[in-house]
This record gives sequence, structure tokens and C-alpha cells, in this order.
Amino acid sequence: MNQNHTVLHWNSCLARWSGISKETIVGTHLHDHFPKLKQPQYSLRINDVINGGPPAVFSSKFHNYLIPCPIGNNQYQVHQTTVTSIHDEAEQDDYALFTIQDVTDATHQLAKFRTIKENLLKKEIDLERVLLEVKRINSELEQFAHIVSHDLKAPLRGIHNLADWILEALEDKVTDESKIHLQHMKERTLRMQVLIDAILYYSQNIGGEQKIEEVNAKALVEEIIEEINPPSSFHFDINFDMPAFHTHRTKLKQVLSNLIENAIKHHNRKDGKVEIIANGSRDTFEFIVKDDGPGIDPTYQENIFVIFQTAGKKQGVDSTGVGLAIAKKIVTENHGTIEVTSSLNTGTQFAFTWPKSMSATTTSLNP
Amino acid sequence: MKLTEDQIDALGEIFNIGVGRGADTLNQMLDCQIRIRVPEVEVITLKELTEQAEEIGRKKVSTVNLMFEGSLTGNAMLAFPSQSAQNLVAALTGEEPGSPELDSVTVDTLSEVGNIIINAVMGSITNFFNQRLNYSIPHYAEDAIHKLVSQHTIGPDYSIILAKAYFSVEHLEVEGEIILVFGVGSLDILLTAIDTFKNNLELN
Repeated sequence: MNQNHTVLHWNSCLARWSGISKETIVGTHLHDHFPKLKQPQYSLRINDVINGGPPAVFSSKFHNYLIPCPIGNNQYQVHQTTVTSIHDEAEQDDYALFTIQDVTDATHQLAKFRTIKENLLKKEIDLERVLLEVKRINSELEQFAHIVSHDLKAPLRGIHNLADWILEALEDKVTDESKIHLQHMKERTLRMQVLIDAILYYSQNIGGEQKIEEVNAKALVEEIIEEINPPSSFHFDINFDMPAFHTHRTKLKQVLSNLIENAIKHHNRKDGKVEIIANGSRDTFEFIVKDDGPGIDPTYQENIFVIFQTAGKKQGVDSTGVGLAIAKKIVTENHGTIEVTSSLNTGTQFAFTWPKSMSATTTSLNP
Repeated sequence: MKLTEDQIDALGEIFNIGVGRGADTLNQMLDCQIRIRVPEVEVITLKELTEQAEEIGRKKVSTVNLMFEGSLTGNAMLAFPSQSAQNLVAALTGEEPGSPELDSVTVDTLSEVGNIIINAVMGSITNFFNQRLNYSIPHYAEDAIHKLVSQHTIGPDYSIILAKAYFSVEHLEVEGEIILVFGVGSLDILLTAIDTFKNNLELN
């Protein structure tokens, strides 16, 4: 375009985009076709360029386009336009060159991207809100379990004492059968106290902030065995092929401790053998605790990880059915799996997976 | 190079007239009320700019660059510290400030804002020259300010005019900083042109 705003050249691409042929527009005044360009915000800047000033940039955001190029449905291409000065030394004339870039696709893609990003951000905010709410509810539940445990234990102690007093007071006046019933009543209250303590223990062991430490798993297992203090006739075989790693030490110790303690507690021989194996895959370690004990009756295996479910009663062993429930909760919280394989008179094997790396703190969503 | 107080005042006035014109163009174009002022300008070396870079923006800045050559050779750069860039684009487009990473539309928008202000300042400077200058196509770049300027350093007499400008958008309570870095191959040429212009005015 020259200084009079007369169009001197109109390339075939612009002819195709705008639908205005070269023959129609060349030699005519640009404003006749695009009156918007008469407005001072355009004409002053374009005139500055024609008069030898620096190039002028017209962004897609502020202008959409300078030259309308329809794409159907009353829509137009989105353009970035740069107007540059061209000086003809020989003729001492100045011209303006319009360079137009079609950024329609990029602009639409970006608009979609922004919408997706905004939605994701909104979801993230919602999720954070839910997490906070879950944390609050968890904390309330923990308090609730604590309060309930204490409140239930007081009347139980009362019932137990009352049964004692009745037995003492009516010793000569009740039948032997009634004495046995009262004795059973006392035993049941004691059992209930154990279960209430188990609820408290369970609620204290689930969730919460977890500290990450460097853990030598083999040393950890040796520490657990020492703390359990099993009969010296028991044999332990620790077969670990893994480096020290950073993890939630307390939680891992709790799981291993529950499984090893079970293997000893439920064993039917004093010279039992417990094998603890660990090996790693790509992202996880697998820990196995295997014994040569009596095995678990298939009837009980299905519900073995459910709280208060026990694998039958062993003489002299008081089990609450909480240890495996806690183990499963902790493993699940750490995105692992735990499973049991057992056959009667052969032995039992518990295997669980544990992540090789984890975030700084993990908080349980599950009460 | 030590400039006299008069010369510094003259440069300050030239920049203020330039950014004022730039703001007028933006206001007219966008129907907003943006004000830009340059409280002071200083002439420094690249070494001094590097030392100041910590204060100006230790992280990368968004810049619009224009190179020119002719009777005066150099480069003009308009730098937006990250937050200023976000605030200004948000104020001018009426959108919420986005993430610190600028996307292509935001870069495009900043490029036009920078182009308008730089062109206005260039217009203000070239008034003192009778000869026309040749310009590059304006380009956008992100990096630490001194690294970007060092790419354009030309000749032993290369001088940097640093103008820290402040913008504010009325009714929106949006404000921020813009840094104008004007590098010239020879400051003498510019100062002589200004002096000649002033002398001519006084003679007339």
C-alpha cells in the first residue's frame, strides 16, 4: 500500500482468504474495502509506519484481524498482523507492507486448553477442600473412637465388679449352674474390654502424617524379632535382596511386626520356622512372611483381613482379629496389596507390596 | 560516560514524551486509562546493568526488542517483570491474570503493547534526526535482562540508557514496572543531535 493508502499488491493467498480478488482491490483505496482501518487507532499507527517509523504489530487478542477473512458461520480467521515500512530509494517513496499470519487454529486450541486448565484447577481446589473435610472427619472419628472406648469400658468394669459382688454375696444361695453363668458373664466383659482396646488400637494405627526415614529392612526385621522375643527354639530365616530405601519406617514396621507376631503366636510347634523374604520389582518391593505352622482353614481365609475376624481359636491364644486388619489398612494406604495363601498342616504365607519411593507425607483418607 | 544534569533531564523528557504517547495510543485503542511515567533515566554500562540485573529481575523477563540502524544504531528493549506482564495483560484484556508461564496469545498481546510503547519512544528520539532509520521486525524474547542486552552490544562506545517506567491503570488499581533499555552504538551522536535540536529551537 502506498502513502495514499492505495493497494499496490494483493497476493493470491490473501485473495483466497478474503474472497477479494487481486483485480478487484489493486488500485483502489484500502479504506473503501475495510472502513475499520480509518479509525485513528489503526490509521495513525499505519501512517507512522509509512512515514518511515518502526514496524507496527497488531495482535490477535486486541484486534482479531485487520483484513476480515471469512471461514463460514459468520466466523473469521484470527490474525497476527505486522505492518512494515518499505522505502524506495530511487523513487523516494514509502510503502507499507502487511504481513498476515493466520493463527485461528492455535487460538482456538489455546482457548480449549485454557478451559481445560481452568476446569482442572477448579477440580484441584474442590479436591483440596474435600481432603481438608476428610482430614477433619478423620480427626473427629479418632476422637470419637477414643471417647467411646473410654465410655464403654467404665460400665463394663462396673458389670464385672457387680458379677464379682453377686458371686461373693450369694455364694451359698445360687446353684452351681448360676455360678458358671456368672463366671461366663465376667469372662465376656473381659473379652469385650479386649475388643474395645482393639478398636482404640486400630483407630490409633490408621492414617495420620507419616515420617519418611532411611530404612534398612533386614535390620528392621531383626529389631522386630528381638522385640517379640520368641522362644529360642523358633528358627528365623531372613532372605532379603534389597538396598536401604526411604520410606515410612513406623508403618512398615507395624505391618511386618503384625505378620511375624501372628506367625509365632499361631504356630502349633515350639520349633517352628518363619521365613521372611523381600525382593524388588520396578516400582515396589514384595515382602513375604511364611511359616510352617498349622495353616488357616479355608473357611476363615476370605475374611481374615476384616476387623475382629480371627482364624478360629487356638488354645491359650487370645486374638482380637485387629492385627491383620491394621496390616491391610496400612498397606492399602501406601498403595500396596496384601494377600494370604495357606493350606492346612502345611503353613501360611502372607505377601504384601510396598512402594520403593513415596511422597513426604501421606495421610489416610480412610478412617 | 558522565552526562550533565541538562542532558539527563533532556533524555528523561524524551522518554516521558514517548511513553506518554504510547499510553495515549493504548488508551485510544483499548478504551482504558493507562498511565505510564518515567521518573528518571540513567546511562550505564553493560557491567553496571549486569550488577543491577539482580534488582531488576533476577529471573527471566519478557521483552520486546527492536533493532535500528542508520545515523543512530542500537536496540530498544521493553522488559516486563513476570508479575507486571501478567497484571498489564490482564488489565488490558479484562481477563484474570493467568499462570506465570506466558502462552502464545499473551506473548502476542505483550508484543503489541511493547511495540506501541517502543515505537512511541523511537518516534520521540528520531524527531532529533533528519535521516530515517532502518528497523528490524520487533521480536519477543525471555531471559535475564543483561543477557538479552549483551546480545546486542556493539562497539566500544556502546552505552545503555536505562529507564524504569511505572504504569498504572485507573479504576482497576493495577500497577507495575516496565524497564526500557535503550542501547546505542554511540551516545555522543544522540546527545549531539539533541543539543543541535535545542540550539536550533533557541535560535528560532
